Amino acid sequence: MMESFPPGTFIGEMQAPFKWILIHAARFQGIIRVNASDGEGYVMVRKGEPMGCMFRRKDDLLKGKEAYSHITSYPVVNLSILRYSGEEMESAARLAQSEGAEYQMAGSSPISSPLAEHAQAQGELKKERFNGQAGATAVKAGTAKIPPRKPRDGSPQVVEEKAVVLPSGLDTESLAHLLLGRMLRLPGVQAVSIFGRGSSVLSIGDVELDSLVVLAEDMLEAAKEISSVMRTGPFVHLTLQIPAGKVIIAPYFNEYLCILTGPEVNLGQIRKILKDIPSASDAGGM
Amino acid sequence: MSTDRGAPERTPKVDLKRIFSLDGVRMSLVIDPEGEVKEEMGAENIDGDQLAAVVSFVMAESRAMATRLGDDQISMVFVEFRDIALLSLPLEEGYFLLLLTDPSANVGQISYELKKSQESAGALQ
Repeated sequence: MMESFPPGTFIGEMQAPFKWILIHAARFQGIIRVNASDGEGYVMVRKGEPMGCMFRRKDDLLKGKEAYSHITSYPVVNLSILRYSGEEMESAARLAQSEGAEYQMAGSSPISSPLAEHAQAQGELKKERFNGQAGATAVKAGTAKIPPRKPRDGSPQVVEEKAVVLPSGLDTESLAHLLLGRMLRLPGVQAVSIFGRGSSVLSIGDVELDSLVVLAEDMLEAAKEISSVMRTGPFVHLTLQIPAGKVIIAPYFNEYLCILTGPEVNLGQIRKILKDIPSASDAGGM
Repeated sequence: MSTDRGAPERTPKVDLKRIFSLDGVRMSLVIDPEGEVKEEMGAENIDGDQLAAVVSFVMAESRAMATRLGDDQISMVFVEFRDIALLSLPLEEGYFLLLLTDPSANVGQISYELKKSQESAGALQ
């Protein structure tokens, strides 16, 4: 179904109501692959609005509004998010149109909108675009029809990433911009995970962090106990340094970040990004 | 200001006075594998015993993480709060050195000085 679509830049996987992700994708343009119990499909999204949609349900191929209604009828679906550049978006829009998958919401721009709009979107995103090599993780099993993502250069192996639940209140657009766009581009950063209550909300990078977050949470809880014996102020971060690298744990909105790095990482750069997170959130998020 | 809690034969040799003199260091403690303070210097308003007990848990959890990552050795654990930072370094035989510093302290410089101290004393891992 999506073999001919541009691969885009992989952002992450999650389980969420589809409409919820749209609410939090006001600056996003790309394609969201959908995997549900009765089939799979995609929704092309520009600035928080669906532009094209297709869903294969057993032998039925749903297109446009029909496909979108079907996808949004699920309380929760598995989503895989790919960001597109302006050029990729153009190409995908033409494909969706040729397949009859065009979907237009009332008052929104059609797929065949002027190039100028794409150029504007491209311009807005230029500063925020991710490095094409960043954040490569495996495509989930069972999505063989989905175009493969390019692995990060020099990555030892591509690992399988488990779909995760994204709680409400987590700003995925900011997450993508702040973590993928900045942290994963730093030399030595291997993986970043957002976690809470002992489970990973989202993991991105070359190393699977899901199994580490329980230990990360134990470290975090132990560190927070320090505040019970002396005046410390709020927790800022914890860094475990071992010969092979570093594990950094820091607050991220209502959750925590776990960052795994090699030994060569510049801790100052990471701390700078961590300090920017609250202000980035205040600036509008998604 | 410096308190020696005994068991000198087994306690790793650490020049607490020199470490305490480093910029930004408010308190320095040597903690044994049982989480008890063997030697301390500075910050008399902080209960070293309670702090040692709590930080021992942090070190234990950190060791678990290090082991999970395939490394039995911890180089350093650094915990930063808004008002204070804690730097913990393993010594010989399960002992560790804990430093309380200003959050603005130059941790890199302190680590460097500790390594120098380690080389000269041969006490730190």
